Amino acid sequence: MKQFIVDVKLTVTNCIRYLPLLGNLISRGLKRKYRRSILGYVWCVLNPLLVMLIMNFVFSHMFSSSITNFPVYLFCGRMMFSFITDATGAMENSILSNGALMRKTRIPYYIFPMSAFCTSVVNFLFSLVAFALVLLFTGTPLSVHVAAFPLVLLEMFAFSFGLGLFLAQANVFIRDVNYLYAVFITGWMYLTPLFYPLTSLPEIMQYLITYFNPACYYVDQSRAIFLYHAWPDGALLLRGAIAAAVFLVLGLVSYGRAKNDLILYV
Amino acid sequence: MSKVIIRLEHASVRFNLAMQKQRGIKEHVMGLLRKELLFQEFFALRDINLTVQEGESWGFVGRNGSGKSTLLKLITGILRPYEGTVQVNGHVAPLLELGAGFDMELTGRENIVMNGLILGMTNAEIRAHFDDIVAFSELEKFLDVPLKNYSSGMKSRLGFAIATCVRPDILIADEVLSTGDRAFQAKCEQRMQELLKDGTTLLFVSHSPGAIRKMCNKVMWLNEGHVKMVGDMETVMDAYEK
Repeated sequence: MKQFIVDVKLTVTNCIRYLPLLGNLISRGLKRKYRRSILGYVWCVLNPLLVMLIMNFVFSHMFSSSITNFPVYLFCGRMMFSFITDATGAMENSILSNGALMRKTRIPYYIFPMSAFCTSVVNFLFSLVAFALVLLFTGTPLSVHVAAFPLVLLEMFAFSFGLGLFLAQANVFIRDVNYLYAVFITGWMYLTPLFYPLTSLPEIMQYLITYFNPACYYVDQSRAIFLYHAWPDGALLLRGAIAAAVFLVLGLVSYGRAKNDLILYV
Repeated sequence: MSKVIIRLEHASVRFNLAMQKQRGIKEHVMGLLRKELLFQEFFALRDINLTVQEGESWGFVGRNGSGKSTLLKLITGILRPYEGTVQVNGHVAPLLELGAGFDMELTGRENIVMNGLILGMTNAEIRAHFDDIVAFSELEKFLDVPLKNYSSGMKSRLGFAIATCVRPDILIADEVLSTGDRAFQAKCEQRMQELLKDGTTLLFVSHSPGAIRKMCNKVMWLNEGHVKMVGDMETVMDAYEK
């Protein structure tokens, strides 16, 4: 226990020391993404908006009868789900792609997944701007229930960070993780009710998705807040918190066990 | 009375060659079945003892693959000893490769900040030494050009200038003088001599006996991961060059 406290203290001072580097890595991630593009950061907002318009055009005719305010329904789902896949995907490769740096300098490795995660958070904040525009154009008012949104975000961030950290270290040892996860994400996307109503699936599928798809917890909560102007369901909030805690522990523990061996495999 | 700044006791570094081999599924399954056979261990360093006093200048010589770079990585803290202990008391500036961590897409200016942070400097230190770095690397005109358009000499100059702008307690230099033209080499040597005069401890790997003789007062000669000879520069270098 004593050793644990010392470890935590060391990690915290270490984190503070490397904070400027973290900030620099994040801004590098953003800068590199839009370097030499004319619209630059405008793309952060424009991209989710355009994708949403296309999906809206394609799918609204199929499901518009069963879903009211389809654009907001769609955007809520896509916004939350893209964050999960973006963040975990970027974190997954972050350690491996910085192998050259790890072999030549001494910086704590967690800085790479951390900066990948933070970059995704910044991108997510930009997509919130796009979301605000969607709300504006569809004439959807905001209600007091928005106050619960930070809690939902906290859950989703913790869940994604844990999952991403787990994938980041696993990918170093078994490179197949990368390919496997790419396929997994595709399946995950179709099994999350992003552009269709859950009720259009057979009952057994509905049951499985409601209880065992973590992305669903966060998507549904955000829809409750922005689309149905209600407080997120308590059971849903609890499930989201459990998923977040489980994956956060999984990520941290697996990283803690792996960190000394990473340099030998990277 | 000078104090001990680096102490290695019976330090060994072990790699498992089997795990680094590229294997397909079939081989992987077979490998699991006869695990012992595939566990090939390889000691890159074996039972190294080294005590470095503050302000000393050590050279490391030996053939390719004798463990020189591994030893420097061990002291830097990139690798951990498999056996034995490694103790380092001070701020280490590792120059295992000039400009390790440079981002080719970013400009020279952005890379100075980035690289400085990677080496453990604070933002204030980088700002304070910015002009010095630019002057030493002679890149005033190219500061806002992406690094991918730099020549390899320009990248080396920039890397060396950043790593040596703040006086480190320990400067670790692995073959840094082999790149760049003669004028730059002379400049680097001069910079290292200045640091030595200010009390920096230098650990220096080079394949050029001339450079070792000029820079170092102690030498360790490594051969296949073992210490072949260690001691005063003159004695070891005379034996090494024989």
